[in-house]
Amino acid sequence: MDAEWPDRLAQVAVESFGTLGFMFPLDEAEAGAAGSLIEPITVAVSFHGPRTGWVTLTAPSGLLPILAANMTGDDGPISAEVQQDAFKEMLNVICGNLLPQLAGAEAVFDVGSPKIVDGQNGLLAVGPTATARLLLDAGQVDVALFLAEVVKV
Amino acid sequence: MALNILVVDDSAVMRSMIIRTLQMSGVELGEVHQAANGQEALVVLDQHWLDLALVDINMPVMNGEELIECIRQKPAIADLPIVVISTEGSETRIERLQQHGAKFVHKPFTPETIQQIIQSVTEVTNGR
Ligand SMILES: [Mg+2]
Repeated sequence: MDAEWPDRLAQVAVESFGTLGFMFPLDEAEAGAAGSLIEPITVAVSFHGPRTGWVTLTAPSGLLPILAANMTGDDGPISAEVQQDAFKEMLNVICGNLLPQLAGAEAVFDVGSPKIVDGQNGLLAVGPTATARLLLDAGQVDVALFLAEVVKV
Repeated sequence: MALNILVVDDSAVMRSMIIRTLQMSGVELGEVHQAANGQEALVVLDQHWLDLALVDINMPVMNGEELIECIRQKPAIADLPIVVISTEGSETRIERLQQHGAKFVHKPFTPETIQQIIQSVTEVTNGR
């Protein structure tokens, strides 16, 4: 895995959070005070194709209602279900935009449905291929890419 | 003429984002229907006359590609204008959708992108 992957993860995630969630990176001075994952919640999505693996997104649970409100434009209280829907769709978009970079624009992938996962889940015990940390105005977000080994014959 | 539209996406949040964008776009909307997958969309299409469908690709039960193939095979709705709004990045799959006459908008989208494509589709619709 080349060294550019953390940058690519960060780039796709920043673009997705900005365009869809109206959440933007803090500049360095502001970021010093931010950066903790209080009550983290993780969502994972799997993909199958020329490469197989999954992408995860972790954020403090307090980020979810802000994200959902930004995406729906709703000012009122937002149910836990809708909050998770917004977070899952954000991961969907990040994953969809990463895949062409994994195997080229022609490659066809099947992407699963994003699921909330327990941080202690076996899925995450494998160790990520690449990770990126975003310090957004609404909180810290971790993105990770897990790739299944390619068996060379 | 007000447009009757169908928004098909497994994410309720994404459906409301798309609908809100349409409402802000100045396009006159009539009935707005929603479906969470291709199968639900076919039920709506059986019951209502629609001018436009906005369709996600990656959905459980029946995905957008299967839905579009189904629509094109049903004489009553075969000409329905379709805009795909998806994270899909595969040129192979996008070309396949375009061969079915669907326009494509990539997620994440800006409101302007949605508005432009709706305007181009509705100009064609009004002119037919
Ligand atoms: Mg979807």
